[in-house]
Amino acid sequence: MASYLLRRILLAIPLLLGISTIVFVILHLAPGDPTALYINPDVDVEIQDSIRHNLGLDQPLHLQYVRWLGSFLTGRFGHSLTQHRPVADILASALPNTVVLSLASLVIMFVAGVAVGTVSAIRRGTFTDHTTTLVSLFFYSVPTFWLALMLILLFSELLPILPAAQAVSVDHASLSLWGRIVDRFRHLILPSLALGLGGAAGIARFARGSMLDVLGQDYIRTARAKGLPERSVIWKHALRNALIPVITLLGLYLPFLFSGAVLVETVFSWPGMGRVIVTAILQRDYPVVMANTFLFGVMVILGNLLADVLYCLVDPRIRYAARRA
Amino acid sequence: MATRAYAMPAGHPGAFRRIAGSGTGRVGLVLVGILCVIALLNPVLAPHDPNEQIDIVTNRYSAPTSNHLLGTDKFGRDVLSRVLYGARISLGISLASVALAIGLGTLVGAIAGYFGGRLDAVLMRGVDLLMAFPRLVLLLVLAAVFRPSIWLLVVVLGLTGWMGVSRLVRGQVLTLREQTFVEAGRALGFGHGRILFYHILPNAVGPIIVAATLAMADTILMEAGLSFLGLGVQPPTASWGNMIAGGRDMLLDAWWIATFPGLAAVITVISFNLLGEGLRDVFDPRSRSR
Amino acid sequence: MLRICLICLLMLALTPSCQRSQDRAEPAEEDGAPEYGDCLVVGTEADADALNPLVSAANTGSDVYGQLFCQLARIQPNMKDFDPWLASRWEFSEDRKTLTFHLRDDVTWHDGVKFTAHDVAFSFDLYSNEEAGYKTIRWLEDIESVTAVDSFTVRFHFTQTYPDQFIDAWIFRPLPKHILESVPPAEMNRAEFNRNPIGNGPFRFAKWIPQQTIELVANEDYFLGRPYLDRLVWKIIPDATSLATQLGNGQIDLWPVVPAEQKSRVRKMANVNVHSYPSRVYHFVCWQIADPLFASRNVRRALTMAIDRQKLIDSLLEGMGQPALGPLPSFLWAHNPDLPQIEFNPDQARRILAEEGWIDRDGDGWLDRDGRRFEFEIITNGDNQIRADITVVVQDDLGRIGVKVTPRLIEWTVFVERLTRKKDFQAAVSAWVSAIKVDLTTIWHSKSIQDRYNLGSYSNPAVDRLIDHARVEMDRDKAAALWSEAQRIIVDDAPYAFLFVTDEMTAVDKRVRNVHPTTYSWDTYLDRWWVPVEEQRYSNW
Repeated sequence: MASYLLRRILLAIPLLLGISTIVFVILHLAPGDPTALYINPDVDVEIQDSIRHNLGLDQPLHLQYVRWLGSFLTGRFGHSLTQHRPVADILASALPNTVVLSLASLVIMFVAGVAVGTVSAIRRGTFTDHTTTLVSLFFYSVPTFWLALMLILLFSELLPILPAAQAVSVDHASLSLWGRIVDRFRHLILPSLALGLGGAAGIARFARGSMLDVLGQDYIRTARAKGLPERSVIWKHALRNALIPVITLLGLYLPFLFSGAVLVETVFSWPGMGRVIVTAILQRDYPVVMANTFLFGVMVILGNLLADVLYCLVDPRIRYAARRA
Repeated sequence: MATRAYAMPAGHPGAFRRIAGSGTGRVGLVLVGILCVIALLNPVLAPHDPNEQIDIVTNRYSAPTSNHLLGTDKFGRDVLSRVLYGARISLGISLASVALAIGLGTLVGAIAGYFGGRLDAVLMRGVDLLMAFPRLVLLLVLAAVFRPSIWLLVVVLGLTGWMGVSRLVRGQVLTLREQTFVEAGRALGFGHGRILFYHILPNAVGPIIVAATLAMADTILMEAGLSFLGLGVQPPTASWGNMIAGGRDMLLDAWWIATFPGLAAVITVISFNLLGEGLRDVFDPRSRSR
Repeated sequence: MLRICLICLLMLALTPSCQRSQDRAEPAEEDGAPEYGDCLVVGTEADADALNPLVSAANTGSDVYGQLFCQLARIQPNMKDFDPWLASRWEFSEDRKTLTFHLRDDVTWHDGVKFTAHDVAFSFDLYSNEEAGYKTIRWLEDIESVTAVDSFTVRFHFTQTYPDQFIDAWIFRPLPKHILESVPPAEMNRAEFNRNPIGNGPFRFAKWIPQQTIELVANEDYFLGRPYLDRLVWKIIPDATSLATQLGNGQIDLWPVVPAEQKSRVRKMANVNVHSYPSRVYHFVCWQIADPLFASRNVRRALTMAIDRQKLIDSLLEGMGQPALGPLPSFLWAHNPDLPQIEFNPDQARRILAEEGWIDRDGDGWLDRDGRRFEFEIITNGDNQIRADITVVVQDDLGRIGVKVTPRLIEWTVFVERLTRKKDFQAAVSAWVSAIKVDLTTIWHSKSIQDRYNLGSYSNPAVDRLIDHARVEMDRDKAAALWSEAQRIIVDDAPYAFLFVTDEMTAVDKRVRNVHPTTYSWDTYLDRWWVPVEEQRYSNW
């Protein structure tokens, strides 16, 4: 298993090189002078030239590329044009918030999705099944940002019970420890629901199919024939095996999750990477945009790696195969 | 497997009957049909001009009435007309970009799958790299770097949506190229291009159509998201995404402005998903939903 | 949404009164004696860019640094007179070429170092250094140098005499020499000081969590006495609807500038006092005279005539505004109250355009001439809701007389560059914040076309002459006559369609006392606002 993981990690390195190359290419696709993207337009022309020289933007393209790779892979992302501080600082404070939101949404997606999918599979063909299928279809097809707005309309405006903006209240620092936990939790509910429900629907449908596959297997029939209680059949035998393919979905879902996070963070003013990139784009703050894009790519790659690890742990076949090899 | 040189998509003769028979497919087909009619017959169906500011001072933000079935927006424009017009815009953009994506993805996937070896490895690595970025992020960056316009939207949506198709087509081509009819074709002296495009790909049409339909659903959502953020269709042209953005300020007091375009988007996406799944049942019986 | 406006110089000229030492800000007796404590949470839609007066270019930044840094004198709400602040008195020399300020000796920076005349002299050198990037550097043009005579006496030397000398000297906020002298001017944009400022004002900087909050605490050693409030917190909520919600349920105490769509909702809130007053902002459509479409004065007048200003006010502002009558706001002494207006008359507009040769010959609903359709693009910055809305309504209005307008929303820095430096636009919607000095040079003089704020390339030699004379005319009545004539010609030439002056609305939680926002600024005498102890909400921070 260790060798399997090592191989996966080594494969990730050229991926990192690759995504920074792509970001470099996109930057230089821009019409006009790409250096203008890195310099505040207010600055005088002579000073622009000196900045250009300092940033190495007057070098030939291949040298710039090498420099770019070097700085990106060591985390030197330059300076934000609008916030007048290092890009790395901006991203460092935004990253944890996106991670928290993503994890919370993944939990919702996974738990709700598997639960609904399993129930659907067990009660196949009944009213419950059909209803959940319809509801799943609805949430699967809904635009994330619209769902976010409708949730705000319902739970922040009509019934003002949940906050609709930011990650914490203004007096967060003065609350007790428990108060702070509750405060963060309350702010997390609506955004993670908005982000997670759509994915949950997708997972529910997949889990249903996977569960039906498993339930049709011989060993399940054997277990039932042995007289085991139904609950044990489902929990101990069917579910674990049905979960394995679902885990592979997690890795695939990550890009979609982050796409959704961009929209949800914008609607909820959640201080994460999605909101940073949208603001930066609207303000033409290119250093931030490029670094942020790169970071998203890194997060997807890391997420896939983690999903691989998880898959490895859960699927005994891989462990056996590795052991025998 | 079929040895005919010009294979038809699997199950084609009975496809329509089967789609009509499959519950999901039937509903999806009908809905999509209705949407196409709406998009085409816009000028006839819309009760008002979508950009007409009807008496902005007294008529703005008015709730649904018989004259304005879905209410009016900030400028006194009829929401129903704008929703209908938005259907035309959204469907049009999505159709064009999906066509582009399918075309590009099929080309890349076919070449990779057919020629294999280093070319395949390089192409698929590239695909993997591009797929590592969240699509919306790529869209945003591309849309920001160039000036926003409808054509740019089509190109950018197409350029970010072909990767999945290429993987699919590659898989199909990999399987199909081992078939005897391909060997036969080569023995007959057919060139690679001819074998690929006349013999192999027609057999893969089924899954490609399914992918295209489902891609419509996804692209409509992406375009709505872009327009919502202000980088897609520019106001005052109506798109569901930018209508929802416009209704955000008066979410409680004028809820109809943001709610109805969203519902329209949901219904549209559901229809394409249903149709796609119905088609999937037809073309790949193994994945028929139970 | 961001409400960033380009600052223009309309200065209120006159020699200010020096020895006015009464502090207008003492609370009225009916409210009871002021008490210390509590925190005021201010809601804002945009984060500050920097908290350094030299660097900041946006509203939130200036709101915050306004509490951190003092000026030499403090302007009164009437925008005509000045109270002592960092300086206790001042006087002009006989020939008016020098202005001497006598500074207080009990002012310290927030880090304990004494504030002296050397800070003022150093600051002037820094502000007027091109490398530092001070946005309104042109304001300091007429000051030749600033010298520190001794530790508490500073002298301004002017290149010429003119009515507004005091205001030019007063406008910038001194910065600490002992901290900033080691920063190269070209590096000011990236200085740590921008995010960790040391000032000398009533509040000191505490904490800044980017995109979330900015916290200031009361300065115990403030030379005019500690402010009553313990703390000020700016809470950043990019969405106006959420801001309104938070104001309504008490999570925010103050909204400095309520945007038009939220005004009716905020009015109904029971826990909030609403202050409505005319703002200093006027919106306009600028026609690019360098473009042949707009070269003719009659064409510009016709286009202006086709725009219904009252409809804009009634719809977009819900009636909370006044038509903008000309380039000078009504609170300035030189404002001409009898300016003939270009009244809304679409039929007349059509007739004038027809006389200029614009007729719908091909029956497609649009006017044309020599085979060309009368169409153009109107741009504005997309992050500003009001301006975006104006373009939509203008498109509709002009469409009714057969002129095809395409609105285009672009991003702020690109917008600024196209408007000021490149003049790359046909029509643009923007707004000016009127300053308190009467001067039409920056916007209307032909010498301001080259990379200054004469956006539409307006050039009229008669106006140029009037401006040049009025600027240095020391006799108030003579100057008024010259300014009046200049305004009349400007409105007549229609380089802008002057749209409206908004009514500003500031919403404050009812528990806060002694709040008197004025046209000059919403935070007038904020250091004297207070909350009764029994109503204080945040007393245990």
